[in-house]
Amino acid sequence: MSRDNRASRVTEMVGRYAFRSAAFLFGFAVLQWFAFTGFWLGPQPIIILAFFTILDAIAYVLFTLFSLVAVLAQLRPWRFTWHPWAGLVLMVGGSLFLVDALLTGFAK
Amino acid sequence: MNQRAMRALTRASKLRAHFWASIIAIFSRGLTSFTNTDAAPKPTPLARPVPLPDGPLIVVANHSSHADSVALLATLGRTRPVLVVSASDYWEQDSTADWVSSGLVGTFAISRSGDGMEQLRGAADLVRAGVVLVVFAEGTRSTTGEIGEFHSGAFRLAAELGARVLPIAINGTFESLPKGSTFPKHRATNLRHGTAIAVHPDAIDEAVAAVRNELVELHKMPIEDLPGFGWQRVRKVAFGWAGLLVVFAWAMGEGIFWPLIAEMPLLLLVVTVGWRWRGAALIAASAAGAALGVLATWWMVKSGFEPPSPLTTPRMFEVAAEQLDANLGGAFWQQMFNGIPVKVYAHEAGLMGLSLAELGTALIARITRIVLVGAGGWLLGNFLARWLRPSLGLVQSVTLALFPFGLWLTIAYWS
Repeated sequence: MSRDNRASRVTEMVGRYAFRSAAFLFGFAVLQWFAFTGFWLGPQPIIILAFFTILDAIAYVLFTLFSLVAVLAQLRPWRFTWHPWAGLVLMVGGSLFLVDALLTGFAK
Repeated sequence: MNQRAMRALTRASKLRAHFWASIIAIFSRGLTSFTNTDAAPKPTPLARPVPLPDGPLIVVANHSSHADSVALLATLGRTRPVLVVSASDYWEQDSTADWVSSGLVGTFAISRSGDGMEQLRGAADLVRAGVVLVVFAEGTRSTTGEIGEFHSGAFRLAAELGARVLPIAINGTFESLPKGSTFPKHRATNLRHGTAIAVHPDAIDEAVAAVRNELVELHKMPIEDLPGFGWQRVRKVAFGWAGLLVVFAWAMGEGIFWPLIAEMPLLLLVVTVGWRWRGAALIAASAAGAALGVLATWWMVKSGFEPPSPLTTPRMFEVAAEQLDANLGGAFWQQMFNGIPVKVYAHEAGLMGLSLAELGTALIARITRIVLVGAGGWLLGNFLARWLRPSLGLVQSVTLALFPFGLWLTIAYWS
């Protein structure tokens, strides 16, 4: 294995984890969208909504930053894989689902 | 090394210690340090600072995993500033690895070939100033879990500086995150502190042999799977009279004036009790307290006295009255998720002049809810015990820190 190939091993691993975590969170956002726009938990599940608002705000901000860092980490070795880019797209898409779900849930 | 730089390093070490302690609490079965080897080893849970000798100190530890540095940082970094000696050929090969080692771990990188000893001497001022230098004397991670031969660099530096060498045996990281793996297995880790020794310049080899022998002996000891500090503390309360009293008083208070939900202390305590009758006792105490609280508010309002209702809004009272009017039993079921405190429903029931029989029927929903939530927590606590044992303190702190935001969102909705 040449030095160049070895050089981005850790960066590639971080990129793969960014994609995996983003895929999971995207699925979780879609599930929340169905639950809150379909009123699966009743007409006013405010405690559940408040809990998920806090959880989502932390998780989605942290993991979007993680995907962003994984993308930026590829700039220095200038070796790119698709994983962190796809992760970033999934995080943005998931956030859109979440905004719609929470706005619908909190609507009076 | 000036005082400002030392303060910055101390601060960074404490931050790294808290960060890695949180990661360890989430991803492992916990970490316990055993110190005071002269007498019976004294276990120190991850969340407490470990006692370390004063003066210039170099820690020599066995090395079989990336988790070794993290384990040492999470415990030693609370007591004194720490730097881990790392291999520049490995940790500076890649931008991400470089960032992780210098930012998240805090390393002092040296070359493993050529002038490595000369580079290690570059840490002399740091050690003199009080920084604990961690050296993995094998120079690489063991692939078998056994302790390999030691290099003498750390001992030569200790002899030159008059620093003491503290052996710390790391048990469990090889089973959790061996060389070549990328995600940790859920295992317990023990750090067993040996005896700190002074190294004489004429007896370097003897010191190397003595420290290695002590580490080999400490490394043979079984791995003890002890719960974290938070779990120990909460379990003690759960099995005492204080636990029963707290859940009863909290639930009763919530039915009258207390603004925080009855299930909060119940869930916190009931997850730690295991399959013991104490779980049922806690749930019963909470349910009894909740029922008495609602009855007390209903009776007081009916008698013309209105107890204070902090953190409630007029709209909450309007909605509760509408729901009670429409469906008496269903109103208390809706209360489960909608964020309107039960004292508001009890207040409106008193104003509407409901009879004790009517309120008693409606209260079944309230008691059922507490029993269901409590039983769910009891069941979940048993299934999640292996994850909660090391992390309950962290879960508790995060929950308490975030709770005000949830409360604010709920009140804002009903404003």
